[in-house]
Amino acid sequence: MLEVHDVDVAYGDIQALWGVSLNVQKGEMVALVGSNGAGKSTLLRTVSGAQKPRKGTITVEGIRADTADAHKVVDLGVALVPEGRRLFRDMTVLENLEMGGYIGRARKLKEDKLEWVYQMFPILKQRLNQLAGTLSGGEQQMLAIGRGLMSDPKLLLVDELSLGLAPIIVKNIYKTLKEINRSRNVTILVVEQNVRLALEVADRGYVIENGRITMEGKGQDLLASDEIKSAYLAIG
Amino acid sequence: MKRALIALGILLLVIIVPLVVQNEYLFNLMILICLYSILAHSWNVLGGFCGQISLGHATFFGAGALTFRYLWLSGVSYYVALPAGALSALILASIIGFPSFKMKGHYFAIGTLALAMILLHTVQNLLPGVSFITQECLDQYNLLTIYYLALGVGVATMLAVWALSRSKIGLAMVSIRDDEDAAEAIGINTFKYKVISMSISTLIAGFAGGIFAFYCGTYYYYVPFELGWSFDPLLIAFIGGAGTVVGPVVGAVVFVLLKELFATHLGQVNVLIFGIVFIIVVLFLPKGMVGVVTLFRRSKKTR
Amino acid sequence: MALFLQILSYGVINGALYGLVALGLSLVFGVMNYLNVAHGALIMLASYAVFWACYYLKFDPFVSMILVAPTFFVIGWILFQGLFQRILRFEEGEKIKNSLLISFGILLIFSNAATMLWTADERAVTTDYTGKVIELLGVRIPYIGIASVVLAIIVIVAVHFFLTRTYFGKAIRAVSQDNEAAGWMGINTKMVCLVSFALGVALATFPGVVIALQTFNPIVSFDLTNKALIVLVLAGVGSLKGVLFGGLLLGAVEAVSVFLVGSAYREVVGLLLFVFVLMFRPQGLGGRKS
Repeated sequence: MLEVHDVDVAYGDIQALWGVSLNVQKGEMVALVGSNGAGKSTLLRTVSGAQKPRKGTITVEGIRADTADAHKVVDLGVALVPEGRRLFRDMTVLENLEMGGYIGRARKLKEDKLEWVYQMFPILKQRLNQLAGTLSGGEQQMLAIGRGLMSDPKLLLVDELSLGLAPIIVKNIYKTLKEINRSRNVTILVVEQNVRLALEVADRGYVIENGRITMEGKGQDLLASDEIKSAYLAIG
Repeated sequence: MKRALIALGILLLVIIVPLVVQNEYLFNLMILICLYSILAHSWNVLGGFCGQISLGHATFFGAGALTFRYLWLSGVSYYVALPAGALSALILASIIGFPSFKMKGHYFAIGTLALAMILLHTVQNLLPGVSFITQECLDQYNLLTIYYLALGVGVATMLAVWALSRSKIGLAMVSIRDDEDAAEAIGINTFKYKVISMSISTLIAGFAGGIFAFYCGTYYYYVPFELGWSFDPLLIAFIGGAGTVVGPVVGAVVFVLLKELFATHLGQVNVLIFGIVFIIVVLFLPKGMVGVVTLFRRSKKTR
Repeated sequence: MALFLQILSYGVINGALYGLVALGLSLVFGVMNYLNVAHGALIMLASYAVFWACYYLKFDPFVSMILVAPTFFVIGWILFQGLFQRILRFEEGEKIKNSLLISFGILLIFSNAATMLWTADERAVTTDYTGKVIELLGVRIPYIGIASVVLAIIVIVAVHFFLTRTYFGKAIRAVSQDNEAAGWMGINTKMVCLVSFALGVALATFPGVVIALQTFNPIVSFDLTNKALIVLVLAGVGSLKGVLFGGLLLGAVEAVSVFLVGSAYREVVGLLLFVFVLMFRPQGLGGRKS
């Protein structure tokens, strides 16, 4: 589904990613974990088209995505749930969802998608006409994910959803994500600082440090590995 | 070293030539060049160096002109009236200028423009008439004197700005221009330096206003408050190179010469052409003519 | 008392005009942070367009809008593609500054071109109903004044409808709130900016019609830009309702000042209000705190 091959990304003179390669198979839920500033969000920004790589390629189901503008990448079936949510705060919940389903083929499926989102996050249905900026943190995150689902994506990218949220809310949202992945076969790539949480739900994981991929493997295997345990889980 | 010699040479030239070539047309041009370069320097200190784009300089120019005119026509000699005019501009700045720093970013630009408009309207209402030159003052009137006065102030201004650009104060100002929040974060009292910048700027504008009032025989009282005096220095500084020491002078030369050229040949078109030139400069030559020369020099070096 | 009401009615009529004047400017500024100070010149040009349409084609001025508005949409399109889109890539502070400078150049160019082409003579479109007034409670209200207010209401309601009930309109609001996030929704933000700008210019048609029915010449460009900026600041960024209320507020304040101190300082009062709001409530009366 997603193939990132040997990608270099830089912000001006500052290089953030060095030769990053990873892939996500159809139907998988993959986690990219690492500490703050390791380059996780940069990678998602690049895949979603907000950033262009200096070197390397990104393909989605065989089609080149690294040369496309952000709005074109959505057409390819990739939806980003951005870091910090980036909701349209002065627009209502419903309007935010509508914006998520802006592209042509999603508009036709609007009612269908809305029903799905209400199923996954029932609270949103109750808050339809509220301004997005007035929702609680957890509700905002749910809306951001719901908004991402409205474009009927094949691949959902979720950037740091745990930031600023209470652990129990985060756990529930991850449960819902897993549900979305299983029930509708939506491929998901999550980027997380909370290593344990992400690797517990993911099928596979990648570890990124200082802009380079350092480890790769099945979620459970990584969790059990000594390096992860000592570096990220404060064990041993 | 070479640059200093060139500067000295040019200076000697502009001092001596008028004594030799008694051409009134030439004097007028050179006085105008000095006037505009002083005013452009004034804008540059606040806008080019400190990054606070002001559209209100007509106010301080006008204040300087008004004060000078009043004192001079009342019998005070011009070399006292001139600094007095500058001082009045500074006082005006402390009343309306410093508080206007409360408006941040682009609001400052349109806010200062509004202030300039307010003053223009007020003067138009309070002093609708013409300022006639008195007989005693007419006797004192001598183009050569005015020229050397303007030249003197012009050179002094340029030296002052040059010194400023190399000082710690100047450095603080530039840092505010580049990133005000960052400057604040590293401990620079941005308000203090903005105030200093505006003080110097309005002082210089006041001098320019005084020179204008000295130079212009008879004019409507509101003329030095007109908005053109707010926009022209901005144009000039940009064309010459905002944020540089030489830029305003280069820009003034270009401005006055082009204006003469167009006025005599094309009449109304000159403002239009300036609009076009201005846009081209903003889009393609953000560093003005000075920037072009620097680029040229750099490409020569690499060869 | 009757005099006060009379002056106030003129305040409302002017206020409606001021709201229309600021509409295009506010839209463009909200969407892409461009401060287009040439907007006054565009309104002036629209007035001339209406004038020529009435003169040569014998249209009623309000009918000529049908011709002028799309024309100005195209003009806005060309202006953006040719000039203003070059500064899209700058970050916010630079965008405002550069758009200010460039549009200032355009203001100079347009107003002087108009003077050269059409002289500085004052023009006005006169119709059968130009001088007619209606008397209400002892107040004489000109037909044209009523038409202006009605026009303002219709236009603002129409724009509001467009922004809240159509996909593209909502996309415009999304882009003005968060350009990058809008891109992630699949919205072509460059296209949105282009259309918004063209729309902003097209919106100059409506105040243009009203101005054409009064007297105008190329110099009004500066006055109109002035008023637009004042209303923009009063209204705050991103607030459409604010534009109407800001316009009405300005109109009312001017009317009251004329009543109290005469017309000499009419402009000054508006400017003082402007500076006051800038200093103490820069987000305007309706805008969001950014």
